[in-house]
Amino acid sequence: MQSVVPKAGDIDITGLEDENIDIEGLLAIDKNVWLEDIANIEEYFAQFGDRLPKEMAEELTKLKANLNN
Amino acid sequence: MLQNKTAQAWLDEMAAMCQPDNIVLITGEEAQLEALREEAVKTGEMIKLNEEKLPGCYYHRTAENDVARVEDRTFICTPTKEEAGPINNWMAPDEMYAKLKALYAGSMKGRTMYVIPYSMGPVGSPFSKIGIELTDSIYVVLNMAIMTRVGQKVLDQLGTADDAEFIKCLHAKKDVNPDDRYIVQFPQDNTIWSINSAYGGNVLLGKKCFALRIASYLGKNQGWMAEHMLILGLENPQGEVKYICAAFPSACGKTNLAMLIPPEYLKEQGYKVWTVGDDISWLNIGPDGRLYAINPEAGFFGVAPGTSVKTNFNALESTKKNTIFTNVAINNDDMTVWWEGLDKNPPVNATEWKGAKVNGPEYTAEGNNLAHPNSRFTAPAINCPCISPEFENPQGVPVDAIVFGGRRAKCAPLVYQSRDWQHGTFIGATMASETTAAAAGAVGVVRRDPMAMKPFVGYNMADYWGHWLEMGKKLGDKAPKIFHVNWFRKDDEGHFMWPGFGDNMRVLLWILDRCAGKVDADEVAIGCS
Repeated sequence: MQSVVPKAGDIDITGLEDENIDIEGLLAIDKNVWLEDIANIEEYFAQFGDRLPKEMAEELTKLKANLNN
Repeated sequence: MLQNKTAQAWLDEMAAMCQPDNIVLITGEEAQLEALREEAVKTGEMIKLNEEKLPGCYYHRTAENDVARVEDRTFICTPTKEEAGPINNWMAPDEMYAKLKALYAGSMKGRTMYVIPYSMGPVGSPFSKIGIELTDSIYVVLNMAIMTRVGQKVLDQLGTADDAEFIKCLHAKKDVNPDDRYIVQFPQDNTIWSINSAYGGNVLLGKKCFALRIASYLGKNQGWMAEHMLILGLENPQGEVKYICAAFPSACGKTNLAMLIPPEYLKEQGYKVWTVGDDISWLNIGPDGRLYAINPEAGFFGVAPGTSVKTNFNALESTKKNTIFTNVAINNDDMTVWWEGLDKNPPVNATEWKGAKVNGPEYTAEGNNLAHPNSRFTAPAINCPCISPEFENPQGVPVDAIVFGGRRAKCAPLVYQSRDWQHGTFIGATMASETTAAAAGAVGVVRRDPMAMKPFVGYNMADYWGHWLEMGKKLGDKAPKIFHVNWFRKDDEGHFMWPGFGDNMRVLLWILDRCAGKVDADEVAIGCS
């Protein structure tokens, strides 16, 4: 399976009708914000050198590839 | 004094070094604890609060330079620097032992050394572990008696085998001198040494020192996990309870989530929330191959400021009896306590946390805090109105979901599910929280806090991620599903987009529906393989 977010209607907002909850906005992914965070993650991972499990490097590569598509 | 010969030999060695005038074994009996409370009141170490409004409750003030954990004085002294890793403070064990022995020498002359046998976890659970803390502080004894299970019953559980496992914990408050303050873990020796502090996580050695730093190291070697996670149970109208463990960095609402009150419409349907723990989880693979969680603690050492009937009714209720308050404010009119956020009425006749008598409303209007921002309550877990019936279950509770989170204004959606355990480990490893931004619409400084364990991992963080991956392989398809939440998303005007608090239950229910395969979802770019 893939990583998933809820369908907007699946977060029950009964009782919150007056609060104008922007569910779509809350679930939205801003590509540029994520790409900026990735730079920070790379710096953080770098301090562990070769001890970083290869799976962590793999996941970072996958994340970058997906955001750049 | 101690039936176990190894423990006795260690006690003798520590006593010879510290040279206390007396050595007293904490038996766990109420009469002994009550006598210690009386002694503490006599010397002024503690102040008794209003017996009618706050029965069995006491107030304690620490030194002004001793109000929080000190991360730059906390060390992980593994044999090599690489084993401690780049985010831990390290010193060679021999060098540190020599430095500390010089500080401990004769430090308890004129004082009593209290011997506290304690269990992290229900006494006798296969997942529990035993420690013995030696301390010269009555405040520490009384807090440990709330936060852990103490006394003779623990010594009986330890037994007399020479190689019975126990964690050796030594604490000397000495002069509370910040320049010689050290909190040191020696993982390969199952040893914790703390000196020159008398505060919280630096001296209640069962909590962060044992239950996270030493325990994470034990977990790596023994095939289990010690995590900075709350444990909560969600009960549906049919009476079925599912459990979630969640790790958030500090100031992201773990205690509030652990004790949340469901929104009215869910309460009416019969949904309930049960608290197993609010800070630390020990996770073990059970006989059925699933992950089981126990709360190794017996109490809550919670941040008082901000705790109110509105923000956390259950936590506040837990502090109404047999609770110790540290560095909050006192209302001198009736000897009750107050803190910022409790209500809008600072006491007129107040003693602020440093001990000065002030006019509360005037003092706070000038921008001062009556209670220290890190002031605490130490409350027995059994006081919590929603404490789980499974709290003492020696087998723990089965974990359906693991939830990571952080305070992100723009990054991270309200909730998303990982693709698999490996991706989930990456999500945990890249958790972060932003400090408050100076201007609306801006984002604060990003602080990474993997699995919320940055201050608490007892060995190299990269190896810890390797251990997570190993555990995932062992669990296979029986592993809990992993999610990430963010209650703190902000719009362009800088307002929170999600109400949070009890309404977070709406998200937890989606999480449990996903675990049960009851609801579909949309793929998201941040997690495709």
